[in-house]
Amino acid sequence: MIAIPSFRLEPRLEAGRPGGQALQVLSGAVLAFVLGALFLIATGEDVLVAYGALLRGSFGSVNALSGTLNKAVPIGLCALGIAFAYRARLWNIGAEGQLYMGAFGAAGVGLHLPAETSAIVALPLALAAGMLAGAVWALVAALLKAYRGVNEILTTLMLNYIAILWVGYLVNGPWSDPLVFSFPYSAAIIPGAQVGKLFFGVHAGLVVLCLMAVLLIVIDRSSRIGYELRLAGDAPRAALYGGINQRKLVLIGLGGAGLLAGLAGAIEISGATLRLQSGLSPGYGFMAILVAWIAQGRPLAILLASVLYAALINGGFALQVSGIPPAIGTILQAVLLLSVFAATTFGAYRLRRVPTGRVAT
Amino acid sequence: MQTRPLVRFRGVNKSFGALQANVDVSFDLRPGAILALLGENGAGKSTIMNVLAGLYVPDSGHIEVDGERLALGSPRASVAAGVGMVHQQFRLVESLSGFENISLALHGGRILQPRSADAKLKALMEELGFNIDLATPVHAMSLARRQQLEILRTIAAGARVLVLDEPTSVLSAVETHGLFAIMRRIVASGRSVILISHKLTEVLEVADEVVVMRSGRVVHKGPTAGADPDALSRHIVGDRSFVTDARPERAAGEIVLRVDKLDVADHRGATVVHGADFAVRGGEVVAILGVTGNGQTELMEAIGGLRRPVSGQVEAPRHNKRRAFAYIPAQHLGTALAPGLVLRENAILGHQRRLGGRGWLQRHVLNARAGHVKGRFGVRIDEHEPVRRLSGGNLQRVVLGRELLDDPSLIVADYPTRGLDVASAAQIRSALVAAASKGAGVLLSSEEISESLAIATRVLVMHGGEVVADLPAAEADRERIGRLMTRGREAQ
Repeated sequence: MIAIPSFRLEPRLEAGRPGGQALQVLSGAVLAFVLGALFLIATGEDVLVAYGALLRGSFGSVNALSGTLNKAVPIGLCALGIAFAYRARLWNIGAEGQLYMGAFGAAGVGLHLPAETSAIVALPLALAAGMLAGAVWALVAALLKAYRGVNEILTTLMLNYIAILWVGYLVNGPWSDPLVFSFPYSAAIIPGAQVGKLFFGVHAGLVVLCLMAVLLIVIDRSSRIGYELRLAGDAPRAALYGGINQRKLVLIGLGGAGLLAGLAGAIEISGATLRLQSGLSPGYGFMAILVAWIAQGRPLAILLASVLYAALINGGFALQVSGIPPAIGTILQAVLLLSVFAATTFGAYRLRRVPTGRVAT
Repeated sequence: MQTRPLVRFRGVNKSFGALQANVDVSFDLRPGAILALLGENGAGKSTIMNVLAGLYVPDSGHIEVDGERLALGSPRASVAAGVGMVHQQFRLVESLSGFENISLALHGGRILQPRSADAKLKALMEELGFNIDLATPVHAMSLARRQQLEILRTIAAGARVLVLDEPTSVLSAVETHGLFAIMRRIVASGRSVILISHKLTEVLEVADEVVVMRSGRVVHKGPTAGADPDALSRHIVGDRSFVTDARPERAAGEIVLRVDKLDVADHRGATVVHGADFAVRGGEVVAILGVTGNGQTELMEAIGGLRRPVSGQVEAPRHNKRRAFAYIPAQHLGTALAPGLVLRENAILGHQRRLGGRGWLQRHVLNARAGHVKGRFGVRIDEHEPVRRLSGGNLQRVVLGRELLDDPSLIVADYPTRGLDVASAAQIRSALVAAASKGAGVLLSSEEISESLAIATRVLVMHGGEVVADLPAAEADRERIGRLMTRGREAQ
């Protein structure tokens, strides 16, 4: 008689430590690179060339690194906003549109202030206008949700298209730059409304991103509004019991998300593109949803995940330059995301040996 | 002649971390017997039953069914061996009909599903005395019907050992007798029933044998015939003594709650409370008595602010238009407590805007409150753990500890001892009496007449959504109240 050990998955009862979660993400990433390598071999591409290009394009040079960090800023800001709203289980799918409206707000200030306005006045004004525009855009969905019970997933999603088309209209019509024929660009914003560079091409938006992450940590840990958002998200009826105004929470949750996405748009205008243009964002607001999920809403993890995601985009460009089809870069991104999701999902379980396994003869 | 036991538990041990939930649990279940498993909350009754059902893997020990060793830790193996469990929370699909729910269990994977009960199922219902219209969707069934459906499903799926986890906690007295009749016919058919309970009188009425557990161990087993109730209660609670303070002796003070011609609707919009009109003064303990479903919960929810009344008014202590009195709702997890938030955070729920700090929650205030809430009734939990893992009794202690913290002038408690064991219930009653002795007004709803009469200074009886009687405790005797609860005004 041989006792065959049997195993089974059991949910972990205790919450994982941050170190354990980092390990899960890392093992997911390793798995992704192995799967990606198999895929590259199957399609006849050179694994080393592909991964080399990916690495070079994302972190391999000062330019690559600064490009990665600059792209991480809008993704990270939108993701922080999405995570903030999700504290109350509100789904903000509209970060992309809010980003566009933020860009519109900042560009409106940057284009219409007198050219000699000093940065002390112009820059805060541009960023504030961007945040306000993003927040107002999100509040359209929030008001519908709070007073009419309209599902915010649908409204925020649909509002994206309106915002993107609105910016397209502006740069082709009233705000189009007479000097760049047929390009959907506005004129450049005034120098005072530009955030300027920190070092090696990295613009100051990175500082803003880090500050906002810290702010979210503080809100989570010790603000009453953060408490009420988490309470409403965890148990809506307990929020009612606790005398919390649910309408106000919806407005604050989605409004805050819109504010951060609007800030992302404003920083894109004032630090990266320096003008309003269509195709301003390659979908930062949508990528941010994935980033917020992978990071499970944790602010510091969002910082890390947004840099990694930006690295994937940047590395994808380098893949194309090395002659590898761009679709492969997209597939590698997808493999990475799925692997990390899988790793964190299974990380919530542990493998346990069942002591009295079946006895075989 | 000694018949072979249907189920034998042999030295089962199970621990969760440092907690020994089951210590060397051994007992037998005869075929055709109703065995009552008695014990306080947390005595280990549910743990041993979850081991039987294959939901927990024990650390050591084994279980035999029909003399065969049961493969442990496998719900499939347990079901195949004929073990069926009916949990406190029903596991029914509410949008499906009764038959569809049974069909799910019987023909789960089949593509072509039968549409109505076959002769075998009808014969089974006939034999066991079930009276359910299987074409009715579950959401339209009463709790008692749903419970019957769940039992029928379990037996139809082949259960020979039926485990009922506190089945009477959701039933009225009449429904309880209906359930007992079904249980007797189930065991007459050769099946066995394990009844988890802590209601001694019911157990003595229906069970053949009793096993008492305390702190994870079996402390008594024997037949119910000729059992001494007092001896059994001593086994259940051990040698601790628990005495409820007598009702507060104090002249009634100022009015702290005034309910003015209140009409309240339930979740479907039907008005279930009609013209409730009464007041509670400081120092009073007012008990609302009624059979479940006569509007008590809706009335309490309207007073507590969970439900908007259709008409009428509630005057109670408020602070910036928010509730500024203690309210213990019928359901703790999900209403009075947020399951995913840690104890520190739950310790301020409802008070978060009364703590000062201008929009910031101060760490020292949170810590101090969490310490008080834990200390008040002796709840042991890490302050940084989500409260969802606490047992029912401990959850209720957390809610009570928090709500009584600031010496509220009014305490509204909806059946605060529901599902609690004798000692916990006594502790909670004592706390309410103590608060009233210090001058608070207490409004308490309950279904247990003697428990309420022991501490109440006044009794309101609800029947059909109306307050049909308002009696000083001195004039309230059990029988009169029982008649009012079941027959309303015509009993007067």
